[in-house]
Amino acid sequence: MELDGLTMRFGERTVSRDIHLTLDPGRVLAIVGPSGCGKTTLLRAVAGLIQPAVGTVRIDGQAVTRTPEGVAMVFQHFGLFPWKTVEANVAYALRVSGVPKKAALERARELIRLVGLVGFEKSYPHQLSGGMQQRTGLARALAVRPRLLLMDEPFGALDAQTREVLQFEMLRIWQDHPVTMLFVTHSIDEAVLFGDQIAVLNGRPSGIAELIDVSLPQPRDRSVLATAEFLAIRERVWNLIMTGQRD
Amino acid sequence: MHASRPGKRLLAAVVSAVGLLFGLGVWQIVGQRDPVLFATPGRSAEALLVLTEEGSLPSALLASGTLLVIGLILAIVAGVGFGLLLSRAKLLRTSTDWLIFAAQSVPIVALAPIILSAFGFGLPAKSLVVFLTAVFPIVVNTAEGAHRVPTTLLEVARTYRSSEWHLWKDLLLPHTVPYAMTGIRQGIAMAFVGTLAAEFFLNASGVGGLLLAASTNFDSATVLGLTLLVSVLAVGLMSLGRAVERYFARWRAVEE
Repeated sequence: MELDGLTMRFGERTVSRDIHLTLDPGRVLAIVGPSGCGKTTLLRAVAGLIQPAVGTVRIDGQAVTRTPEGVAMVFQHFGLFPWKTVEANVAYALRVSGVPKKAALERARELIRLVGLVGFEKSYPHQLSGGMQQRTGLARALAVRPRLLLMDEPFGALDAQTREVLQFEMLRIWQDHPVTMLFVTHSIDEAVLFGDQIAVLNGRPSGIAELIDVSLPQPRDRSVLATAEFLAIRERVWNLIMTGQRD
Repeated sequence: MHASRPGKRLLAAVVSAVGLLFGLGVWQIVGQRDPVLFATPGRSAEALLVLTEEGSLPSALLASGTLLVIGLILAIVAGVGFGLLLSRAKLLRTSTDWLIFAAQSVPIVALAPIILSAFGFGLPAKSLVVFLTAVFPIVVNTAEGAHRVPTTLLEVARTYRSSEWHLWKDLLLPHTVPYAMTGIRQGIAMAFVGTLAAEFFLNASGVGGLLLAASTNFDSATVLGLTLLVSVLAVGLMSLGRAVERYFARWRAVEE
């Protein structure tokens, strides 16, 4: 995936200017920045939901005009169909791409097992906690075996505890099923935890303040939170964001 | 919440029964004081019985029922169809918005004689009156529902590259049906008014005709009896509508 000189505008207002980023297969790129810095807007451009004012998004060399095949997105507010059960929500991803019902349901149950929702297949979203709803959202995105997974503040709408539980759960899942990931978050910890590389956005209109390589060893789990390198990167990202805030 | 629901239902039933008894009591007292204007409940029931025995009530109910059902079905088909269409055609929606609200505020009942004389006083003309009274709440509610499809869900559909067919099947229809059902329930109530209005003019027919005849003869027993009968039927049909609405909205978090 490649962002080539992206400038995003909302009407007259320029949100971010001249963004260049590349993401190689199998890697995780985290975009972090203060709220309102346009990181979600960038992600939506990658998904083909909006078009950049200037520049091009390319995925496997193809310019993106609508969501390309094999690109799945996890939404901050889950984006589940309230009238569909957990299993139907997960199967939806496959049903729309033409997979027969039986095969889609089978694969959906596999994913439901993976995200730890066995026993809730027939529940409706309103009967589930936020964490369980996002597990469903995750299962739906993974069901299509995406070549690129877009995470839009996936744990941002959850309470602190659920958020942590899901972060480490997601790390575990990612280790077993590695997938190229673009991870947008305002949580610095989350960015360092998931990213092979972190793009720090700041300023108004925002630009990339710095691109930081994270050389924390894989697989990662809770124990990395206490390592000196984790704390050092965390501090660096924090300072970058704060510098941008002051001006 | 679930534990107390049967209890709440029982309480609601008791309250409505008390209300009904109170209403009947008041009716009885007023009826005894002023027997000309207000016949008692007993005499009203008697009047209905007489009409049933001589056969005019069953045939009137059949005629009115036919009219109501034809007009209502047409209104549901056209109302839901047009309402859904509005959801996918922004231009059509913004350009017809004002027209729908304008049309909705026109008292169709007052126009009934004109519509009837223009279209020939037969079943088609009368069905048109019923259709026109019932169709607007259905269009407005359906369009409202279709208009309020959450943008996040539209984006979900877009990122999964949903075809237009899947967009309707998975998102637009399931989201809109409960709204449409609310409109249909209101439409049912309006259709009753429309049916009686359509039957009032020139060649009076059906239950509306019986009502008109009784009213001109100051036969308050028949008028009150028929009015009550129509209300009971309307409430019955609307409960049916509510049951259907509940079924389609069973995924919703809160029930009223």
